[in-house]
Amino acid sequence: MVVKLYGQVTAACPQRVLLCFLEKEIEFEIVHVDLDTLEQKKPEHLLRQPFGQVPAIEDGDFKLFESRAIARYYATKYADQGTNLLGKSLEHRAIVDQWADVETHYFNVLAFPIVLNLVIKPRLGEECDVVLVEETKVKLEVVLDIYENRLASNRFLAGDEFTMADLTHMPAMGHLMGTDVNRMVKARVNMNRWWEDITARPAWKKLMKMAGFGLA
Amino acid sequence: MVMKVYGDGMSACVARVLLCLHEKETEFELVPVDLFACHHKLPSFLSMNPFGQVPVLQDGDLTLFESRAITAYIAEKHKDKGTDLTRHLDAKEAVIVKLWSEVESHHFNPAISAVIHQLIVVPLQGKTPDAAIVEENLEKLGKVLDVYEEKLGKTKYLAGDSYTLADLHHVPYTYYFMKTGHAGLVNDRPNVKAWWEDVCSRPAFLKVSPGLTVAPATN
Repeated sequence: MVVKLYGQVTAACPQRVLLCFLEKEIEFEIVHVDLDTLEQKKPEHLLRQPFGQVPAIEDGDFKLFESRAIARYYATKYADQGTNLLGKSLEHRAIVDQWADVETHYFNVLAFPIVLNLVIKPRLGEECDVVLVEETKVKLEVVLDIYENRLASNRFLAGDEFTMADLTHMPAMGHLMGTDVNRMVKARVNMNRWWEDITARPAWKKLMKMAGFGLA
Repeated sequence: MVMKVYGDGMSACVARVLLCLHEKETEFELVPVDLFACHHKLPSFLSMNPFGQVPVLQDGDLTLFESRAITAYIAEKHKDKGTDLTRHLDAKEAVIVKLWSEVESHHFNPAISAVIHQLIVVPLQGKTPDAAIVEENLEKLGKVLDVYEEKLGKTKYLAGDSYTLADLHHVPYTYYFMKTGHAGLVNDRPNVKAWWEDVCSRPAFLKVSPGLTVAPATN
């Protein structure tokens, strides 16, 4: 029996799990939850995810939500298959965790309001908070400088290899690169190099194709 | 060589790490960082954490920041002693711990830390708390606690019937929150209240709470 992912293939958090499945060569089935009609807030989905968000997974009797916990579980369960996303030693795993936590606490908190206002609200016909976007971009510049410095001496965020620390950034970055933030990334040599490197990975290309985004 | 924690016990994020160290019965040395004199923004500190925040952990050659990455490391390294904080012997239980730890990071922390920031940090900077921000985040926090109330009606702790990192991560900010005038958000929810009274009376926390000395404004 194949794991079922409840979510929308174009949304960032489900993409985080899908990318993990693709990197780990895990078979899956997507059960579409339509965000444009707020299906995620309806009682049937709230039973899977009490906060009314996507994704959630069902693997036989086992159920989970929170994309980063799901990704970690499958990366651990299938440690010997596909890409090693977790790091090799206890210390390396801690560095992977550190930069994955940076994504949560420094990057996502800024990426989310930008994506919400520039990508999601227009789809739902809602007004964009332009002032908030501009203020958030200023804060994001400071954070991207730290990443730029990190990536100057490391090929990937946690060292020499692609790990969960890089993967966890990719879905939101993918959306941001369709906005003016593209300019901010391209202006930073190492961030640009890192982004081109990780988006050249076959798993990312498959994900983009599934999500219906045209590839150059 | 003993692990070093750089920070000050009054910081909730530092307390999170200290609490984990006590639960795991692990020795450590607390290296003071003067937050009021902004020593955490000096180049010597930024070389350890480029985001200029406490805590930082040094364990031999390893330097780590992000308190929850640090607690995960300590809990894993010392998984065979002290409290079982990760349920590491069962992969499914272990990920449920991670799930509710993610809930703390993504749902609980943004709301509660915004309230604590307004009610503790802002007055220390000589400014007036923004009532609208407090109001907005109390509302968000209330909705999160509704989910917790239901979950804690089914299990004694957030990830199951044992105390784990999923509970531990909540403790320091909740301790400060309970000193504000908004403790009702916890006390009016019987399951959350019972959980809070249990987790804040654990011996490990009684060693950490004396360091959580900053006093919030009461409105």
